[in-house]
Amino acid sequence: MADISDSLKKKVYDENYWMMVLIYFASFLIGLGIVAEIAFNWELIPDSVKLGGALAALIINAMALIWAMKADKKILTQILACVYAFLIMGVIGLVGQIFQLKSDLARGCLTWSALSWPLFLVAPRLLWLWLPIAFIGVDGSAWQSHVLQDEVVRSVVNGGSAEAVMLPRIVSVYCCLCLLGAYELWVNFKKEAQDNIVAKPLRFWSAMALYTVYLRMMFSLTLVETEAVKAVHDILLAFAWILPYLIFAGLVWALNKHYNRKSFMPLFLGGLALEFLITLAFKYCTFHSHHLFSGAGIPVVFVAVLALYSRHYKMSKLLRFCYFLLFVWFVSVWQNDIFDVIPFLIGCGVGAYLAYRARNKRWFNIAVLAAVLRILGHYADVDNLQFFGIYLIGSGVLLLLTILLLKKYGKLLWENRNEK
Amino acid sequence: MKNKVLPVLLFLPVLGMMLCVLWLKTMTVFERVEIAVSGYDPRDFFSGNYMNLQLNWEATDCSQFANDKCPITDFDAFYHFYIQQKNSNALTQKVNAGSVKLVFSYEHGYKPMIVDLLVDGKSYIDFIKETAR
Repeated sequence: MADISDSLKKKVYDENYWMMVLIYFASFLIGLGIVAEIAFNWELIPDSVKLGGALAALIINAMALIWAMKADKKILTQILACVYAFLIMGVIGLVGQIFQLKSDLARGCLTWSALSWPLFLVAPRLLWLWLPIAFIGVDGSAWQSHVLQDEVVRSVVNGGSAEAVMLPRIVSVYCCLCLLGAYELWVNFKKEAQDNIVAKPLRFWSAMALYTVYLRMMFSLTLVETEAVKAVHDILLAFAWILPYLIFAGLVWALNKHYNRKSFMPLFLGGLALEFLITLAFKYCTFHSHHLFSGAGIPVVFVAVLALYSRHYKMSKLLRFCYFLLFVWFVSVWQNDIFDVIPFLIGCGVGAYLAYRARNKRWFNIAVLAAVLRILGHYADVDNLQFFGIYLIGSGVLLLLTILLLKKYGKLLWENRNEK
Repeated sequence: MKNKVLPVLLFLPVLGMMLCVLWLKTMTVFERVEIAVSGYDPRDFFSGNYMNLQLNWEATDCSQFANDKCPITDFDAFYHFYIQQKNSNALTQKVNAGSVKLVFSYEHGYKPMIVDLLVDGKSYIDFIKETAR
């Protein structure tokens, strides 16, 4: 038990691990920028040139990746794998444009998942990306909101039941949860996963929570406001989301107890189930139409888990509370108004100062990076895809530079602090 | 064995995309039919700019199909046609004026594939070249 606790602390305090996560995110921005540039749709370039160029880029990337693996260049391998993943996404979009295929997020995600799965044999951390996208692809196909809405209404109008329409979708949710849960448990309890008892489930269940946010957003935006569909929505929440989480929480708790391992996952899953129950309760209060409260639920669960984690951090309660408030505010009241950005940046500045005083390098880095991300978010403009693509590529490069500077000059800053 | 299999697996996306493109190409070799459309210009980050076009069977010449009968059930109700953002206004005006048609590669039993967009009887590429002048 002491060994597991020490390895857990090592992982939580592993700054390089978190920096790698951010490097992935920066690669994601660069990759997304490439996708946006392709989406801009350069009509006057012949289709054969576009296709040939895209396939050539895939082949070059694959060859570079193989070379990086053989040369044992670990970081380059991770970055190339990440760029390759986004290149595949870009080429799928390009093929859709050239052949004028209907844009279908779920089908696109499914195609991408089927083509890109070898990549996480090379870069296991790409599971962060692959799991939610595969989930959207598999289950999103069953939950296409406009199709579902029409089918439910048609069924009710023709004297059928909404439940008959919803049942196959609910079954698909269960199947997806079982498949992903089984994979996660297999990964978690393999011998070599012993020192990743928290990291792997954290990744997996964060991906699950992201998928849940997506599902809930979809429903809150598209459901027809009739009594029959409202009732179905509540049934869906109760059975499709809450119950599977409770079942898996119990299963993982039992397995942990059997293997004598520690994991916060049962608590995390139970917390998610509780959050959905609260959301359901909100529906029948006066706040039920206020998305701020339901939308803030998921981030609150995340932050609650982080707060539990922070038992291991030697941080003052004030600092922890500041970050809790900052995070909930960041997600719940996101607006692209400069009068929201400035207070947030001031909050980041205060957080960075408090972290510096508390000699907490990790939270100092988080404050700086949160400020950079917020600034980048403020200047995002999706209306013009060409400029947005350039903006994303620039943002990814800026983020990579910030990480590099924090690593390089952060040492001097903290050496200076420790001397005082 | 892992060292030999993994590089091959990394070329799976390339192979998959090539097969996909070949399959889509084979779907574009059938007879061309022109179908009148109406529609609008929504936005989709993941797909780029496109026109959401609804088939207008009333304004379509059904003599181009077998037995002079429009095979409505073989087609979807609406299609996407990808365009550049800067051309969307000009094209929307033409769509509203009813002078736009979608050209499909069509064979009964196969999924119809869009191969071109006609604006005032001219190909879309010619239309945007003229607009650019």
